[in-house]
Amino acid sequence: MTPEELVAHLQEVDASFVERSDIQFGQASVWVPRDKWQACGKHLKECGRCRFDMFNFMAGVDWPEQNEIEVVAHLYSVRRQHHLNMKIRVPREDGSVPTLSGIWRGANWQERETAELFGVGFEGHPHLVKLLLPEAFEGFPLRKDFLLMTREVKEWEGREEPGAPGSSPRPGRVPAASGQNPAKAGEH
Amino acid sequence: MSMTEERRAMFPGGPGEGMELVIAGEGELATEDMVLNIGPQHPSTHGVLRVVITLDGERITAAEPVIGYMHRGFEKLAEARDYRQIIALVNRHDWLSAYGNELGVALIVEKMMALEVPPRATWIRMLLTEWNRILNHLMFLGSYGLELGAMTPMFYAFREREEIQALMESATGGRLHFTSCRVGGLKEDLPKGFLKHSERLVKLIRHRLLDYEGLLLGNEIFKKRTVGVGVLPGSFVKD
Repeated sequence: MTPEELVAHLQEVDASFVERSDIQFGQASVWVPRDKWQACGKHLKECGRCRFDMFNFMAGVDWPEQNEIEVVAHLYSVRRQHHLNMKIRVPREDGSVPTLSGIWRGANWQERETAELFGVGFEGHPHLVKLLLPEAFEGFPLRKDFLLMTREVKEWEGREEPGAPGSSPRPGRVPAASGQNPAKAGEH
Repeated sequence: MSMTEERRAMFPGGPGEGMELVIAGEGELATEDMVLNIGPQHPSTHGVLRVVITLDGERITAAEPVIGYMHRGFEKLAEARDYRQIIALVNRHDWLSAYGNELGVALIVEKMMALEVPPRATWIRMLLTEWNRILNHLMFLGSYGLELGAMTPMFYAFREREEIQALMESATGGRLHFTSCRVGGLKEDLPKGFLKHSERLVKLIRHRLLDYEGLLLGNEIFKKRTVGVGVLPGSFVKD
């Protein structure tokens, strides 16, 4: 199915699956409400027309302005050769998403990784312990306000670091007003 | 809580803990569980992995892989760099197929910026990626054989790799981390005589592949250790 057909199909099956949809660069994304997250996943895997037999990977996106974390499940169908991004937004503090690990086995480790790197809980996950990070690691490294460890020790002169005090919430961009950061005030 | 679960709870198996060897009780060997750590090894060795296995005698009853020793937070590094700089980062992801990785970044940025790449650059990129892929497969053939006890294919693979690396070096200046892809095209055009040399190498390697076939597939030990071992059904792999 084409991205447009995929979105239309989901809306047809259950209009409540699709909160919002978007097609960019030839990829369809659907934002699924929390209470339909698992049902939608189950449908996508089991429906003969969708046949999403492969859980490609899961990613997180930090949106500090909205104080939300977006969880993105990248689904792919080897049989049908189409791709869909299933998205859900949760609050940054104590946000949690129902687990997909009962539907796709591959979601198990992906959810552990998203949990430790972004600080999102996965309800009903059978073994939600850290996957990549050491047991005692504190903080969620892929959130925008988490500083690179080397930069924390020594500032890289002339560079604006993601998460540094006074830096723009989106990295790589110049802050809106200069002189917000007392440490860098002299440079402007 | 069973005996096994109790042991595993004692050693949750996070990276950074030392090697532990626990021999359970004083009972009979075949009925008591044992928790063993395999690894971890130094990050510069390949396939860094620690496996916490639970043994009942000589039979493995549970295995918990502990990964993460090779994760260096590229996503975070990429946040602090621009697209051109990321190209030099990503070809370290898999340093045996560096070109494929840098091409991926270039393609995705071009897609986002709706940039059109000149046809010549597209074809050169494809040619270099394919050469890199062959380099990668040669390494696989060589080192996989080595790990299963066949030493010779490694030497053969490195003989071929050396020639291809010289070819790649003539075009990109690099032997491993080529960093020759650019958003919108390439760092530079191919040097004179590249295609002719390429053609010669293709013929040579195609011919020499017969040696590999004989060395690996004709090797009794290699076959004993691979045929029918660790077979996973397709649906399981995709799931």
